Amino acid sequence: MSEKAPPTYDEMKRERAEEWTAAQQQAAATLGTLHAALAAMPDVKHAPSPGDPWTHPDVVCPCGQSTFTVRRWNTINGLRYRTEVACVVCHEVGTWDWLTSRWCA
Amino acid sequence: MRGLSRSGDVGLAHVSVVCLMPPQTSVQQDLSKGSNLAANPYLISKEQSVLLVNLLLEEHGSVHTRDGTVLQTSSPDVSPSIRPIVKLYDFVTQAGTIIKLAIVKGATQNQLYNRGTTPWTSIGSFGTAYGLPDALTFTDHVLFAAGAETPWSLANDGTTFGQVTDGAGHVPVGAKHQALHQGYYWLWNTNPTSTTYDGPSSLRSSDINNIGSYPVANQLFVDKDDGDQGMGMGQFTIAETGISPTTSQILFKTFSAYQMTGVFGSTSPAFAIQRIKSDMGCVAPRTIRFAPGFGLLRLSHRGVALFNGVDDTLISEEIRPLIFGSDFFTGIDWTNVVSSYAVVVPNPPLYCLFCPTGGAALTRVFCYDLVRRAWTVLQYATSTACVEAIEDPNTLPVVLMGDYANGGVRSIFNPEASAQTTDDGTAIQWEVFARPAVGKSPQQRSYFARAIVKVGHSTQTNQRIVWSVLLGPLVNSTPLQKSGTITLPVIVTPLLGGGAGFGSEPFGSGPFGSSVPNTECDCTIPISLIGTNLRLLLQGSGHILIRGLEYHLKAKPPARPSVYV
Repeated sequence: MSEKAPPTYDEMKRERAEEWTAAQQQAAATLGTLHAALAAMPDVKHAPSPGDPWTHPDVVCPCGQSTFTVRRWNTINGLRYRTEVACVVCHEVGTWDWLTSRWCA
Repeated sequence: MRGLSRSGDVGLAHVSVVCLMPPQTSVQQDLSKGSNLAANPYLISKEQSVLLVNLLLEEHGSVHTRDGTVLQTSSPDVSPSIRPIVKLYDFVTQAGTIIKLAIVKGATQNQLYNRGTTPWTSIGSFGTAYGLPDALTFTDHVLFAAGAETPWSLANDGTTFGQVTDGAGHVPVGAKHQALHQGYYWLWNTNPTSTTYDGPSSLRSSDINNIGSYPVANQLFVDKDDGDQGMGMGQFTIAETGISPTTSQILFKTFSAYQMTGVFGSTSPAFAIQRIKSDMGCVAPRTIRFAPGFGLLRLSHRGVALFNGVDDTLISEEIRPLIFGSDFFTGIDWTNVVSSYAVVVPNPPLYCLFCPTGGAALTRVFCYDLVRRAWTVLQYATSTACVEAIEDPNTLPVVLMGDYANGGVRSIFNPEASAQTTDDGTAIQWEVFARPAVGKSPQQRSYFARAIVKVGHSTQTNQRIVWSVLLGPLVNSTPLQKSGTITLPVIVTPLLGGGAGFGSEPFGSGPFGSSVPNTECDCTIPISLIGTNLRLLLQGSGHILIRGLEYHLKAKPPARPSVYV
């Protein structure tokens, strides 16, 4: 029985390209599922618009006021993480950390 | 018939029957699967060899000597105070000027040079001596990750050199690794210990297109204080028909890896960090390299790993003894493994991993053919501290090595180096430790008449191939062996008569220019020994192309191969 000939270089190149394409498809599908799930999470879906007035009962400016404009709304894995805001009264800029519930130093 | 009785015996004939086994040829015409040191040598595939040294697999099925090195420039250091060249980088400014840079590592601080002048011009000094500085171009500046100090930047004038700043006062205190990703400047592992915003697991990014702003909102700890530290970053794009390409950044720690998508503050896609499906991270940050069409490669604690966006696969099993050591080989120096470097060579498509074997100098090079999935081992005349693929506009990419102890910057894997048969004058020593030849089985005796080596290209007059054969079985301390030298009778040119290659005119001259492809020289190794198996070792120096090996043997009838008293 004759042995199967080893693959040629072109056959190997084609194999590698097919493997890469298959991996890309699977990776894209996985990431697509992840991103769709994250996009539906409330902290992402209802992210405040930059420039619009924004308040939250936990977030109070050192000047005593609690109305801000949001400059950055950072989430991680769909959950709010840190928010950079500017007080509409004193114009001070600060970053609120949602994990520690305090202003970043 | 023999042994017919002559005297007195009536009617009896003594007949001896001798089984004549036909002669065999054992041919290895395809050497494309590289080295395999991890398996029983009788079980390695027919296209593999036990070990190939200083040989590449280009021209499919053949092995040929690697490119030599060509010295491009040297640092101004003089012996005995020659510092390692730990980074090479070409800064292409927006105006198109190319500023050739080099970083040398001193005892207490690194120094940045313009290597495009003779002698090199010192641009400035860093604050510390970091063995793995990194450089990238962003907003018409070169940014340097310099370890435990705030990153530095060099302006497009090639002389204004200083540390990055942040008007809000939150400039990162350090950065061992950096990346340009989606228009942001990213820093990973920003301090040896964890503080409010910095630490070994801290990831930070600048504002978009702004190297002078590092908001604290753009900072997080990835598995903070887990006993591990950031060990480099790599990027690749996942592209699928009908879907916008998604660029991922992979963050490595020593024993884990994370896939990051989006950027701080993005909602489409939302910023996410997920641990990838693997128990491997990275032990040598400068070995992280993306090979388009293959994936992200790096050296991990288990060997060389390849992440393709889905699976993380160990690809270095064939050369595991040379990485970790074995009964026969000393492995790489794992106490200095962090200094390892790698490069993806564009032509031919290779991943070359430079590793230390004693100290921080890189002396052992593992060369992985990305298409053939095969390994060879390279050794250079000088030890290396860094290796970079330099891609300047309007020129072919070139791979440069920075010396560890000789102050030289040398090119490899480019047309100029391909023409070299030496490493800047030092002959390239190559070696083929071939797959064993056997008759019926490795335990049964055969008569080995000869071996034939098909040489397709050599460049030296009277080029010599030193050969030795070992035959089993081993019955005392000295194996049955034979050795000798083949001297090629001619220079074997790739084209007949040594003619030039492809003509510059598409019509009117032959496809091979002024000549036709040449044939080869078939060199005979006389053996004439009986043994259970034969191991052929070929060694030589200079350029050679080997297109096949053949053994002529005759299997003997099954019998005890050796007798022990």
